[in-house]
Formats: sequence, C-alpha cells, structure tokens
Amino acid sequence: MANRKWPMVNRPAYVFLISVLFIGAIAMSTAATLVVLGVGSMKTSIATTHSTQAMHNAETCVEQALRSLRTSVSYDGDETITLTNGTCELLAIGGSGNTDRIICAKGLVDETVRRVEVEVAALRPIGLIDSWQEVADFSLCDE
Amino acid sequence: MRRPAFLLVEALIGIALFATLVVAAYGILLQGQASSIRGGDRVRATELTNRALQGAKSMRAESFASITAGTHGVAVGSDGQWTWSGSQITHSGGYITSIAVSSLASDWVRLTATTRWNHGTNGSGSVALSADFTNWKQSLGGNWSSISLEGSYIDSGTPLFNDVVITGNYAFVSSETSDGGVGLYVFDITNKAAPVRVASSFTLGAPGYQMALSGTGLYITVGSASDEIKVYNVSSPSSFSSSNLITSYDLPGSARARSVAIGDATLFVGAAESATAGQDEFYTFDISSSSTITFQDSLDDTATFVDISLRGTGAYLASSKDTAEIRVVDVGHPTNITFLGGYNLTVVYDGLSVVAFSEGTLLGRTNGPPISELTKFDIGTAAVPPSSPGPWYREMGGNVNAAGIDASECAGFFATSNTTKELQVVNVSGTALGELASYNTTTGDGRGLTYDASLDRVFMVTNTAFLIIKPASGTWICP
Repeated sequence: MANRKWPMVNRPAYVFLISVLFIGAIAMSTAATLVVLGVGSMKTSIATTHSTQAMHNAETCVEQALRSLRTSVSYDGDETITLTNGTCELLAIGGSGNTDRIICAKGLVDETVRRVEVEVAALRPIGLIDSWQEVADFSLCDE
Repeated sequence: MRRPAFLLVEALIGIALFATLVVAAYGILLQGQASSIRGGDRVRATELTNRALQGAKSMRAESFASITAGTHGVAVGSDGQWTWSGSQITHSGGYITSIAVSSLASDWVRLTATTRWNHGTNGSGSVALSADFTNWKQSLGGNWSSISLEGSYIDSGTPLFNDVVITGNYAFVSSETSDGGVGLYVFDITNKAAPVRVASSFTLGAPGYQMALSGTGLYITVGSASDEIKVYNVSSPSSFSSSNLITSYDLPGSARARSVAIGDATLFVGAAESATAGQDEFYTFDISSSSTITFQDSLDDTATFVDISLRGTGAYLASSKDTAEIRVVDVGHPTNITFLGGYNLTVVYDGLSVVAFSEGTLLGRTNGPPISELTKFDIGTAAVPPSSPGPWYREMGGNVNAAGIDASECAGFFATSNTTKELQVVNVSGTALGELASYNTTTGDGRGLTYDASLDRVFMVTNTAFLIIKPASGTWICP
C-alpha cells in the first residue's frame, strides 16, 4: 500500500535524474545569460570603436574643409568624403569671405554618427577658430 | 527492490546527463567569458589607439612639421609634451600601439593608429583608427617684420585723406575738403601695384571721416550740418555716384559725427563734444534694415570720441576726456547702453585710436614729450582695462592717428605723424611692444589705415596719398 502511494521511494534514481535536469537547466540558463552578456560586451566595444572613429571622421572633414577654404574662400562644402574607415558629410559652409565662417560636419561609421560644429574667426593669413565642439544636433547649420 | 537493475540504469542515465549538461554549460560559459574578455580588450585597445591619435594631434598643435611620415610610437616625453617614441609603444597588458603617418600633401597627412594584442588562449586582435590632419594654422600671410610699398595713388592736391575701407577689389577713402579734397574717393585696387581712381566725378560735398561697411552698405560720418551719417550702396564701386545714397541721419547739433563702427545689426557712432543739452557724444542705431537708420540710445559725456572698437559686449572709445582717455560702454543691449568706466592715463593727451582684440586693448594718443603714445592694456577680467597687470607703453614719436591689427593678432599697424615712420608695425602679442618694421613716406602724416586679412595688406592714407603696403614673402612666425 505504501509502495502504491509513494512509488518513488523504492526508485531514488528518479529523484537524482530530475535533480540533474533541474540543475542542468539552471546551469544552461546561467551560461546562456553569460553568452548574451558577452555578445553585448562585444557589441558595446565595437560601438565604442565606431563612435571614436566617427568622431575622427567628422574632425577629418573639418580639417579638409579648412584646408579647402583657405585655398579658396568660395569653397562651399556640401559634399560626402570617403575616408579610410567610413565617411564624412560636410554640410554647406556658412558665411562668406575670409572671416566668420561656419563649418558643420558629420562623421559616419556604419550607423554611428558624430557631429562637429566649428565657428571660424578667420581663414587667412592664419586660421583662427572661435569654437570647435561636438554637438548632438547642429545649431549653426541646417541638416 | 524487486527491479534493482533499473535503478542502476537510471543512475547511469542521470550521471551521463549531468556530465553532458556540465560540459555544455561550461563550454557556453567559456564562450560568454571569452566574448566579454574580447569586448574588454577591444575597448581598451580603442582607448589606447585614440590616445595615440590625440597625442599626435597635440604634437600637430605645437608644430605640424613634427608629424613626419613613417611609423611611430607616441608617448609623453620628459618635458611633459607628446612626442614620437620609437616605432611602437607597448602598454601594460601586452597592448602594442603604433601610428603610421603618410603624407598626402605638404600641408596634409593621414594617420592610422593601430593597437594590437595577443593574449594567447584569451584571444588576440587589433583596432585601427584613422584621421587626417591639415596645417590650417599655417600662416599664409607674409612676413610683417619686413614691409615695402606695393602701390600708391598720390593726389596732385592736398586732400588730407582720413580713413580707408576695402570691399572686394575696391577701396573707399574719405578726406577733408578744406584743401581741395572731395570728401570720398574710390580706387580700383585690382592691380595693387597701381591703384586707379574710379568714379572720380563723385563729391561728398563735406568732409568725410570714419567709415564702416555692412554688406553692400558704406556708412560714413560726414562733417555736414544736416546729414552727418550717410549710407551708400557700394555694390558697383566703379560707377559709384550720389545716386547710390541709400539714406542719411542727422545727429543733434551740426557736423559732430566723427567715428563709426558696426556690430551685428547695430551702428555705433561717436561724436564731437557738445555742452548743449540733447547733443550726446555716443549713439547706437538699429540698421537691421539697410534702408533705415533707427535711433536706439545715446550717452552724454564731456569728450569727443574719434575711434570705436568693439569686443564682446563692450565698445571701446578713444576719448578726449582728460580723466579717461579710453572709455568703455556696455553695448550688450543697444537700446540701453551704459558707461562701464574708463582709464585715466598720465597727463591729458587725447586718445586718437583704439583696437580691442583678444589679448588686450591698444590705445593710440596725441604726441607729447612726457608720454609714450601707444598703450597696451591687459584684457583683464572685466571689460574695463585694469591697472594691473600693465599697462605697457611704446614711444611712437608722433600722434597715433589710426590703428589696426593683423588676423594673427601679432602685428599691430599704426598710422602716425612721426616724420620718418608714418607707418609703424609693432609686435602687440606680448608686453614688450617691440617694433617689427616701419615705413617712411614723403606724402605727409599717416592719418588712417586698415588691414585687410583676405589680401594680407595694409592700406594707409596720408595727407596726399593712398598707400598699399605689403609684407615680405615667406612663412612668418610671430617673434
């Protein structure tokens, strides 16, 4: 009668087996979580690299724009430049002549974008910068 | 107990399953750990690579010439400055960083910084970042420590030229009318070696003093009784005529306007001293519409203001006031301007010219034996020139009638009545105020000048001449 009521009592391996499955499930879940975290870490690191490169791309665009403007103050920007790692977009350059020019540049790597806005006090005889800053959105140019 | 063999089989199955799960879980765990380590390695490598590029950028800021082609390591030197260090730098943790520099032009380099690591079973990899540097700080101007006359226009009479402004390939020059001058002259300076007077039939009808340009509008202060500020359209200088008059403004009193400056959409006008009520000496006008001059505010003072220079929200006035040869006005709100103060220099020689720039303020004064006519004030923490540090002085040997400064804010240009140095070029970047160069003309006193950054030329006017002064060619570093 006791055997009919508690059939496992005489077959303890079932307890062991179920315990193994239960512990195994927990272990697998933990391991899977670590994999997900690891993949997340990897993606974050790649995003960090892309973001850093995107910033360099934006600044490279500004550097090239300054060089072009100093060669010809009529250079108007508004072009996309292909770089070693990614691209940069130069918006239409603001102002005219030798002084008070505005340069806005976007650096891109895949879907990562960084923006830099520069106020140029004078181009020649030497380049003078009023401000050079990264921005979330352009305030001096229309994107 | 009746079926013991099944117990053994079940136990074996359980052990086998346990072992399988443990191995699988451990493998997955190792995979996750490896991904985390790789991610961390990559972030660290990115930071090290970026640091190398920033170090190179710092080197570029000091000297573009130091960014030489090749493969370099970059590190902080014994002097605390970034410098090249071998062909690569090994950081703790086994990260190795190098920068490859390739020259794209004499003023353009491409840098690719790479950090590599090899942690054996924990993985290896590399991160590369690239950037371009250009030498946009390089001076494209000439050497202002050596100057020469490039071209000139010498009038047959004595027009007593007063001021000059440049728009495109044309110069507008104001003058007195007391000795044959016509008040306003126009010169084509396309060929700077031989400026040509154009629109020569034009006469202003009264003395012309200081001028300022805003777009195609020329604002000139005129010694006339009823229209002391005139605005001309100068979009077609070669055919300039009286029909180009856009509008004019009559200041209180007669023929009192002397100086003018423009900031944003505000016109600032300084006037000759008047004791009459309602005849103030400093005015602001709204010129947001090019066709109208709208009064905004004015200030009364016991001084004549013959020059105005703007910096930030301050207007700096060259003043005849004996107790304040330079006056400062808060013009942050042009509709409500206030005197901030001034500076009382030794004895009573008048302020004649003023330049406010990023390092300080320059004031030129009337010649007098006990004083040095050029004063440089420190910029100070407030708008008003401080008494310490400075001021610093330079003897100019004559009235400093007009002043200008080059775009690098190193060379200050001064039109003076010194009989052998009518144009003096002074290093205004420090406190020594040493002379860089001078020019001697036989055409009379230096009476007005302007420096044009796009042409890198000084345009000076004297009693009888309009002179174009050029610097020596070659790269110039402010001494």
